[in-house]
Amino acid sequence: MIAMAKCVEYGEHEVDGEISIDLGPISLVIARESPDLVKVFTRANGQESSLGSINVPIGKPVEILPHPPAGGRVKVDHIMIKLSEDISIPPGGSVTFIQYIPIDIAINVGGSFLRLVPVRAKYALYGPPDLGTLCRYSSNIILKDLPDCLKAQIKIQIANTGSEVTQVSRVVLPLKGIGLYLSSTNQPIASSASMKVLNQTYAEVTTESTPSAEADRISKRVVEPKTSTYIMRYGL
Amino acid sequence: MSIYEWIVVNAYLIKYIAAVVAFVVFYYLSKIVAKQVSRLKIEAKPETIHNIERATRIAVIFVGILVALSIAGVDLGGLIVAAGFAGLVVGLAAQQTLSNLFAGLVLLIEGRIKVGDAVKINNEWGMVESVGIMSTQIRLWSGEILTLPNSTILASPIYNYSRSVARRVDIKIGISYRSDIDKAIEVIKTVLWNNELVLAEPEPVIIVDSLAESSVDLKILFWVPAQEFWTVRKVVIRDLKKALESVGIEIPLPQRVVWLREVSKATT
Repeated sequence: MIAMAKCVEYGEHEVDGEISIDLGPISLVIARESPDLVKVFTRANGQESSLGSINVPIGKPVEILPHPPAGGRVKVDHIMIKLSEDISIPPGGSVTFIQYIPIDIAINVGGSFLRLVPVRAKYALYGPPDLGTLCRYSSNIILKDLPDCLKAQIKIQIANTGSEVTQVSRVVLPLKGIGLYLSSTNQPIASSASMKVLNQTYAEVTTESTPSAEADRISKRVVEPKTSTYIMRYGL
Repeated sequence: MSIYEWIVVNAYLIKYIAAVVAFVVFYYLSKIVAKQVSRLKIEAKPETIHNIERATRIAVIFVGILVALSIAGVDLGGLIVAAGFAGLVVGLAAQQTLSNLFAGLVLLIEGRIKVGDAVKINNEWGMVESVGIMSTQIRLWSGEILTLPNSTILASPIYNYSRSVARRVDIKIGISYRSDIDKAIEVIKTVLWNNELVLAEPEPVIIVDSLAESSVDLKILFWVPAQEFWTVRKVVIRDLKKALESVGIEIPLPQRVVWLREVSKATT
C-alpha cells in the first residue's frame, strides 16, 4: 500500500507498508523491511538513493520534522545567504528584513534523532580556499524550486556601526545557532539573526534566541536556538 | 613519614610536576590568547591576522617552555652559554643531521604538512603518514612508503591539497564549428548548477578559449570541496558529454579538411 503525504504534514507517521513524502524536487520514501526495520530512501526522476535502514518496531510511529539546514555530503558549519539585491547602508543606519533559507528534514523515532535528509543542498566558499569556510548556500534560485514547507523565514537585522557606507550582498550565519519553530500552519520559522557591520571587511553575525515571527504565530519549537557568532572578514 | 618530610624528600619530583603543569597551562593559554587575537577588530588582511594569531601562540608556548625550565631549576643563563658551545661543536660534527632536525622543527612549528594531508613533494604524490623530527614518511598512492629527509622536504616545493577547503577544476571541451556556442554554454551552466558539489560561489566560469583546428574550445572553471575533487571532476565530465549530445551539440574528433586540386593535362 502506498500512501502519499504532503510535506506540510510534519509529525508522526505509522509505517505499515510504504509512505512517500513529497519534498519538492525529491520524494522521501520510508518502507517497512521487517517487523523491526524500515528502509529510508529518496526518489528523484525515478532514481532511488538509499539513506540506510532505521530501527522502527511495528506500532511505533516515525516522526518527520523540519531541521535547520545542515551539511549533506559536505560537512559545513555555516550557511551563506545570498541576498537578491545588494543593500547599501549609511553609517549608523540599520535595516531589518525577512529572508528565506532552505531547510532539511529530520527523521525521529521515540524522540531520538535518527536521520537527516538534505533536500536541496548547494555549497559555497566564503573567503580564500586555504583560510575560508565552506558554507551551505541559499539563494533565490534554490528557493524557487522548493515548496513553502521546505523553507524557513528568517528575520535579519543589519546595522552599520562603522563610519563608511557599506554594501551587503550576503550574510554568513553559524548553523549551530539557528533554531527552528513551526507555525500553526506548519510553516517553518527560523530564529532571527543580527549583523553588526564595522566596515566592508569586518562584520559580526549573531544568531539570536528569538523567533523570526510574532509569538502568537508559533505553535511548536522544534530546535532550540543558541547565540552563536561568526565574523565575516572576507567581504560582505 | 610526615607530609613535610615527604615534600623535602620529593622536592625534585614536585618541581618537575610543577614545571609540566606550568607548560600545560601555557599551552592552553596560548590557544585562548590566539583565539582572542583572531577576534581582534583590526583592519588587516585575513592572512596577516592568521599569522599574528600563530606567532602569538608560538610566543606564548616559548615563554611557557622558559617558565617550565626555570621552575625545574634549570639555570637559563648557563643553559644559553652551554647551548652556544654545544651548538658549535655538534653543528660541525653533525651538519646533515642537524639540518634535518631543524627542518623537522620548522615543519612541525609552521605546520606546512600534517599527518593525513594529500601532498605532492619532490614530484611524489601521496598522503603524509608521519612527520618526524628527522624525516617524513609519505604513503604514495601506489601504496609504498616513501621516507624523505626533512631537509629535502623543506627545500622542495610542497603542494598541500588538503590545506585548502576547496579546489578549482579546469576542463576543456571542444564543440564543432556547426554547434551553437551560446546553447552549449547554457547546457554546461545547467549541468554545473545541478551538481550539488559544484560550488555556487565562486561562480563557475565558462569562456570560449580558442578557435582550434577541429573545434571551438570552451574552458570550464569551477570550484568544488577539496576532498571531492576527483569524484566531482569525473561525474561532471560524464554529465557534460551526455548533456551536450542530448541537445545535438557535437564534440568533434580531430579532423582535417584536405582539398584535392586537379592537375591540368597541360602541365603533364
